[in-house]
Amino acid sequence: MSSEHPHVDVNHVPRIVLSWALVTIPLGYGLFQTLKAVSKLFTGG
Amino acid sequence: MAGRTHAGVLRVRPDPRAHVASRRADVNLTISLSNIALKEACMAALSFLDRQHSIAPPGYSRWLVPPAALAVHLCIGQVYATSVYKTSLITDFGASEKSIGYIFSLAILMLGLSSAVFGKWVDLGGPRRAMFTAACCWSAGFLIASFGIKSGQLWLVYLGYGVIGGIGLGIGYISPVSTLIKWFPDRPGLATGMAIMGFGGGALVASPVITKLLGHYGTATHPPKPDGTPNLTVNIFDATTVSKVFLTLGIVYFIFMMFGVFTIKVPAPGWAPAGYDPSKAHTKAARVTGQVSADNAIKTPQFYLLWIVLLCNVTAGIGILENASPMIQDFFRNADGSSSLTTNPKNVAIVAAGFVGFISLFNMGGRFAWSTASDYLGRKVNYIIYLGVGMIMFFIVATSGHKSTFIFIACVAVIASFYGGGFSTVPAYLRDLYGTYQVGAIHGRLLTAWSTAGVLGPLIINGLLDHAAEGKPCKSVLNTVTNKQVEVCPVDKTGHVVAGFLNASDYRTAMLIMVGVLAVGFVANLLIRPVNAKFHEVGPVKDAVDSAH
Repeated sequence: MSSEHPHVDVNHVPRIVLSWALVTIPLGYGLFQTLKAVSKLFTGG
Repeated sequence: MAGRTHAGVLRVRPDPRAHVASRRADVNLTISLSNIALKEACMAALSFLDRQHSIAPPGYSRWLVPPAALAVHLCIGQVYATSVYKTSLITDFGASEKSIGYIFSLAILMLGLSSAVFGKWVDLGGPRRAMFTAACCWSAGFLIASFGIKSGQLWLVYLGYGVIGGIGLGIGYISPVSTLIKWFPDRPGLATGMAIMGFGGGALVASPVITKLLGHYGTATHPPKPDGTPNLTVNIFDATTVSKVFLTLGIVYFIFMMFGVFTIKVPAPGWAPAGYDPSKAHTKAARVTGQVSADNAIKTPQFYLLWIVLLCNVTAGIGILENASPMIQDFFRNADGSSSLTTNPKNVAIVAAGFVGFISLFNMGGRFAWSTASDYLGRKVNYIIYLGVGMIMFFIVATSGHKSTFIFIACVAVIASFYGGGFSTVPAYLRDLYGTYQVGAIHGRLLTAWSTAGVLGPLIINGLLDHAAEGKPCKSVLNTVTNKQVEVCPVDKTGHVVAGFLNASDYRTAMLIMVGVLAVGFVANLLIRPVNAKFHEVGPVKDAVDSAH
């Protein structure tokens, strides 16, 4: 059984950050908008 | 053709017709060569999508794979945001609520069918080709539906969004799942939870974006309430506006999904995470005992038991989630028709929308949290919780839900988290039972349970609610614009149950039926045992991580 490279290639780090940012930014926007709507549930509109 | 020259020497004179024919042949040859070159160029470009071209090089980080999966699931999760433009489509097509509802139902039906039919193709061809196909279908679905809306042809919306988009949904849903399981053999629940959380999150992203796009492309009109005043909580946009939104979504989703296509990679044969030892898996259940093909999997009782488990969990959850907004309003309606949710009657719909958002968060969060927890608890224990605790939650909602908003909201939130968790834990459950060999294909076949539940859940709850509403008398309401009394009946001409007629007791039977549905799933889950070794593949299977085990 071969193993994963023990340390993540340094060159991959910016790509990992960019990739995660690309999906988490829209998701974060959706979460923020949902939380804004959810706050109305607890404040009575 | 020959001719004589002045010197009497016979010389060959080219026949002009032969010359033309020769030129034609040359042109044809050139076209043929161009076609071949074009085909080869296309094949070369498309070969990028092949499994062998998507094998990760040494040192490739597996943490690049979940964003690729999320990119696809965030896009296809839009299917849960159809309610944003549903009323506009009903008005634009002059169709009934049921006719427009079929668009969503058709998409979910095609999701199950396409994932079952194309599951093996996805496993064999690899995730990149599957994701590319999913992106093409999903995007084409929007474009065709856009044209259908613009031209007033509802069948084109069924064909585009429902059928072609639905195929994209099915292929897109399963495409990254088996790859993620192979990249994360030490945490299959976490891996599938991350991707399938994206499916839940897709609606959270799409709803506000679509709302903004509709406002950008057009101006909303509001239908009148029975009393004649405009219903400001309902926004209706014309066909051109909705069509433009579909066109925009089709283009944007294609580009976003291409990020997933270009990023996804499968692990090289024999790859395993550093320090990973399959024999030291967290739970006994998480240790794969053998590899089973998709064709053999459907010969095992475990497949059908798990199909029942998924069917019951989704049926119960979908029934309550689809009716969340009217349900909270009906549960907390006072005898005089006023709401106990808020002191301002104008805010009831806003509070209900907040409740829908709240349970959407639990649906999405449950997908990640419960699936991750299953790596420690074991899949069977997870489903015992989903179905067992779910029964208790439904029973509390049925008997005491109307007594306290806190109890009601808390119980429904827990049910929503179990609904989401059920989806995201099932690929890891399949992996435990059947190995990683053709887990994508088996998962695809299991998703037919989702399609069935998509019909069964709403059928049970809506059927019972329609029956309850039909038994109630019409009301007379004063139209303040015309100053005349108008009669409002519990079911309107589109077949929709009008708000204000139902109360908590009308939901009791449906909730208690869901307790029974979950009990069936609970027993089915308890009956699941490890798969008989006679179904295991003989010898090592040629597939990524598996071959190393």
